[in-house]
Amino acid sequence: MRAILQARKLFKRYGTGEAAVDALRGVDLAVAPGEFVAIMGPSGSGKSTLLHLLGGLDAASGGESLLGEVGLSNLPDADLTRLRRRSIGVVFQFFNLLPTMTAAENVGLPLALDGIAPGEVSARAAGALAWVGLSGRADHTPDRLSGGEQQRVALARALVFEPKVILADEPTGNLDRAAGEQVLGLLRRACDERGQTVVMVTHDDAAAAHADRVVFLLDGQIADELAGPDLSPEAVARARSRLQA
Amino acid sequence: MRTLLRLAWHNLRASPVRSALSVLAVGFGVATLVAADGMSRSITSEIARTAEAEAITSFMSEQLDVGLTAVGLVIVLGAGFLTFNAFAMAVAQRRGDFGRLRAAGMTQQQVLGMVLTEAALIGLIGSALGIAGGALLGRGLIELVSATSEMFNRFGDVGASPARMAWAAAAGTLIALWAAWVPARRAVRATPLAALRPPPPDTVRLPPLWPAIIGVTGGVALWLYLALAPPGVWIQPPMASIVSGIFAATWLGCLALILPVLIAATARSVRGLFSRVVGPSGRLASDNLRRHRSHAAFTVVTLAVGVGMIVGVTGYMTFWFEEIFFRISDTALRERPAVGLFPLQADAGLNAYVGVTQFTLPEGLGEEVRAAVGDRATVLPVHFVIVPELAFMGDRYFSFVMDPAELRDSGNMMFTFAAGNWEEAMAIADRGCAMFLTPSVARRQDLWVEDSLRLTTPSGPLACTVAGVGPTFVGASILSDAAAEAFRLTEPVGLVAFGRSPQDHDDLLQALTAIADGHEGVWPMDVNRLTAYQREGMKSVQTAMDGMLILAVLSAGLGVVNTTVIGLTERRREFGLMRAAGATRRQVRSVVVIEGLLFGVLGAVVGMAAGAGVVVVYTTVSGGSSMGFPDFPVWEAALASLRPALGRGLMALLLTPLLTAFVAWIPARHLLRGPVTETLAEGQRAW
Repeated sequence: MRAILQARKLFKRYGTGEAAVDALRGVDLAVAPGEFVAIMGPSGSGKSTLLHLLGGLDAASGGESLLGEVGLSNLPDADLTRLRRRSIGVVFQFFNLLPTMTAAENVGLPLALDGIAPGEVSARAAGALAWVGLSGRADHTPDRLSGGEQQRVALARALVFEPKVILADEPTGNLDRAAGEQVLGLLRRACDERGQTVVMVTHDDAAAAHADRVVFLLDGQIADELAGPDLSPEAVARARSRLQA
Repeated sequence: MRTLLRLAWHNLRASPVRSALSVLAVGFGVATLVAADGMSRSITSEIARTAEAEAITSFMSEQLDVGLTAVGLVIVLGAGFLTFNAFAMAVAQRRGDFGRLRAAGMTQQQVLGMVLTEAALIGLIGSALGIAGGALLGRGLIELVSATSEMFNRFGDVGASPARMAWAAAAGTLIALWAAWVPARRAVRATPLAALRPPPPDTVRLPPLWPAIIGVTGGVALWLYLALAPPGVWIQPPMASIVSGIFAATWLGCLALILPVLIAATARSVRGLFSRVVGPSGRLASDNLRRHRSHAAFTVVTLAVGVGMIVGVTGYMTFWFEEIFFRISDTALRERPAVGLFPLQADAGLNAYVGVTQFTLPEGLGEEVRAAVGDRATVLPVHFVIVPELAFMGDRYFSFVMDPAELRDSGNMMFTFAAGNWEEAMAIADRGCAMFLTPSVARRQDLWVEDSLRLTTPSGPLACTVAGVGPTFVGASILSDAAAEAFRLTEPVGLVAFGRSPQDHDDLLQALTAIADGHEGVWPMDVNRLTAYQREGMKSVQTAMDGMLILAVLSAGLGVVNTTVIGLTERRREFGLMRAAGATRRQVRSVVVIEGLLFGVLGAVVGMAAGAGVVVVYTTVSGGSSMGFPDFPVWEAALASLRPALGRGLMALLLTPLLTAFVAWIPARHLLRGPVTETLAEGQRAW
């Protein structure tokens, strides 16, 4: 099957001269449509950088990220933004919501930015909120939502345009176990029920075990992969320990 | 101390734009104060070579200095608001830094000392730049006035006095210290642990309503009172000035109380409209205005001060020149046209004074004029003197010396009675030195008709008695010719022939022109034309003030840049989030630009309300009391004064939002230049 998301010899360098750091060193990765991929690795291994480059949130120093057949590096900013808005949903660990907007308004933001009529924005935002189980919280501002609810609103926003790809940067890193499980369950359902592709960065073995495949990064390179029906938190933990040893 | 200085310097360098903006704001204020002094000194330096010339020109330079200095002080105050805002936001941003310094062993006083050292450095650098820039600004204003004025067309080449430079620098430094003191005190009171905790989430909160209710109630009560019973119909100096000041302060206080709710209400009311027209960017911009209300309030106040001054100064000057100074002269000159002879070409502006060392008319010219005009006119010889006790404004405003009988026969232009009559006045004048004063001067000296005062003259004290109180020409006090000897006056500076009827005008002009042709250094002048020149002079003063006030608005523009820069830094992640959610750079920039636009609109509207309100309060409270006009049409004069002021206010309302939107766009463009992850990055400070 043709990959929906690809990294081809991705290279990223931060800083210059003696202070230069190579965060990614020629990463190749292909993600199939509907696949749930977790990216793991120690701090500074390049996980988030890879995610950002795959989503066109940052510019690569070398190599290419592709969404379907479209290369992201050479797209003009306006086109890249439009592509990201419609085809890539992003969820971060912190500060996911705009504080002055209600849950429904936060969810509808990408649609409103796209110039979609307010009536349709409201309807689709309500649908997305219902999907994450937060219909009753539509009019709440972020300060009146729990951390888990805020993250589900953020997920609803990432899903509202029905994008092909959802990128999640440690989405459960700031949540308790129960709230984290809810978010991970929703990401799994996005793949299973909606056919969306999920790429998630995580430190958590149990979170990674929700994925179809776990990619391990070390020093800016892919060091190992784990996939298959026997993917469990214990298996992920073993693989991670093996890598760090 | 050295460590504090090093830390303070390091902190200033760490936020170069914020520091530069504060320095520039202080510099603008100091430059204005320096330029005001330089400009007024330039007017008198080469021109006032004789006592008479000094009497005529020094009042102009003094009033110009007073006006421009007031504008300068307002700009310095505006700089204070900007610096306060900058420090308030910077201190909030550096909360964690303060916590770390306190945890590392710094005392509260040391942290406070460090922030105040930063403020002192800003004040000192700004003042130094202001002093240097003040000379350039003064030159620029002189060029501006020279280019636009027929009257102010000659200036001496002198700068501001060292004393003015010193106190301008002190004012700039002190205002910077004051601006930093309040937020710094608040910040250092927190314990190290509390300072290290992240600040509470930033949400939209409604401002308390009760201050606005007090403000609206106070404002309504004030305007109802002024509408139904304006004090201008009965009040007397000096109460007029005191009550004007109290009422004007009340009005400004009411506006200040209303402002937070006004900002919140404006933001809320435009939210829907902006959402529909501009999309989420408009909606977020209006939300941000409500969220950062205190920052917004200070920025709006800084802008309002500039716009308010433009409106207020225009209205105030229109009131004085159109409604007070020339209220009687225009009518009087229509009934009894006046033509004068002067030892300079008055329509040559200040150029006419250059090189004049003998500022009097030739001996015997009075008799020649009287013989030429015969029964067609009353000839009034005019002398100018400076009598500090009788100065209408300040202490260098000129007074006239005239023959009281000729004054009486010349009609209403020079003097009319509000208290007293000619019979009693002539009796007083027969006994010695008589004075004809405006109520403003009389009340200031606690005098009324038949009261006496010892005046300062070159020959020592001179006792004079008040012979009449009422409106005089341009407010100048009039002394009877019994004072001429004490002031060592010989020949007059002017001979004015007042015709008996409007038909005499052409004959008088012809006769006096013929006489002037026969004498070297004597020029004829239609007094109507002279008053037109004085009005022209007023416009020139206003041009200079406008030049300064544009600086005030520009200085307020720096405040908008400052607020935007710090707001962008605080909301950096939010903008990054918007970008990640699919907002283009332009859409995010729009949020910031619309915020700037809203600042501009609010600043201009509040400034217009403040300036126009103060003008109407002043005019309805003081009315014609300074001159003693009978049946002064208080509201008619107030509205007539307001009209040109509102014209300028509307121009400010159009231009200020454009300026503020533009200056907000600059840092927004800078921040959003990089990729999304750069905008999202924590710990980075914009500029």
